[in-house]
Amino acid sequence: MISKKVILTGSFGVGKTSLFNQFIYETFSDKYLTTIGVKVNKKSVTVGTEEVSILLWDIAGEVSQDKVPNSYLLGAAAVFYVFDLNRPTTYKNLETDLVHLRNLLPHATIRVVGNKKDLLTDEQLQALGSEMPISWDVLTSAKTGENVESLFTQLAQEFVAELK
Amino acid sequence: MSFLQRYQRHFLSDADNCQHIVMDEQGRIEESDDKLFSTQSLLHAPVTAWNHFVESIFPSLLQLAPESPEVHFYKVEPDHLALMPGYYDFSFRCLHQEGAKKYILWKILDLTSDYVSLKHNQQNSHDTEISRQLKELTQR
Repeated sequence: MISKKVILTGSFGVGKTSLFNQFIYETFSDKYLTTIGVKVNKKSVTVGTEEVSILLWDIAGEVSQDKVPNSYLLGAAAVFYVFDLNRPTTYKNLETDLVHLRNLLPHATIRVVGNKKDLLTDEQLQALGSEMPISWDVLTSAKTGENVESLFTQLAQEFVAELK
Repeated sequence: MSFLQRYQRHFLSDADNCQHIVMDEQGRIEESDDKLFSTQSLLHAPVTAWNHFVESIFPSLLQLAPESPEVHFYKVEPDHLALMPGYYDFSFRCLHQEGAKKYILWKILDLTSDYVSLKHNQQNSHDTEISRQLKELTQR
């Protein structure tokens, strides 16, 4: 069994807790409930004959990543930087935030996740893509569940591939 | 609550809202003062088997040396644990090393009442800020 710590981070109100709940419990609520610190839970993902245990950290949203306590990143194998596709303020610090995270976690996998995909049309997404300072890696909807399971499955596959 | 009482709750380790647990390098409980919850029924398995938070950082904790500074985690919400409902500050340090054996001290500070009030205030300020941002976007 492979066990890996994975972090959900980003600004507040971007849907980190919704992604956490969708992945761990397969539930969704429209009501925004703030996270003040950190919640941790785990779920196993099967990759071929391997079981990968994802220890998922849902951490309080911060406008800038340098406000996140460094200890929260301790031992993280991967970070999902989540932003809200509808609120530009949630990706305005994307470049500096990624530099900060890469400095602190040089060996971790870092993915940029645009959430709340269900609220935008394909045309709006295309327009947004050309405006973004850095392109996203994955677009998700914690509400419909689109790409949520695959986000973690793909990561688990990478963890298994690293071992071989 | 007075400033002195707040200070005592936050920083004095013999306060009644603080529990200390000593774990061995397998994560098994060696000692506990059981001030917040009883560990009697938890002695058969390592902490990493029932606490996902500790499980997720335990390999890193084993790398701490006796001279390493304490590692702090604030506002932890172990919502998957019925025995720890609420909000806690956790800190960890390598207590001592005996030959190849290493012991980790886990300090648990129950700050539920303070953090529930903080959460309420943060919820209000975030709700207001998100509404402002969305309103600004629709007015463009």
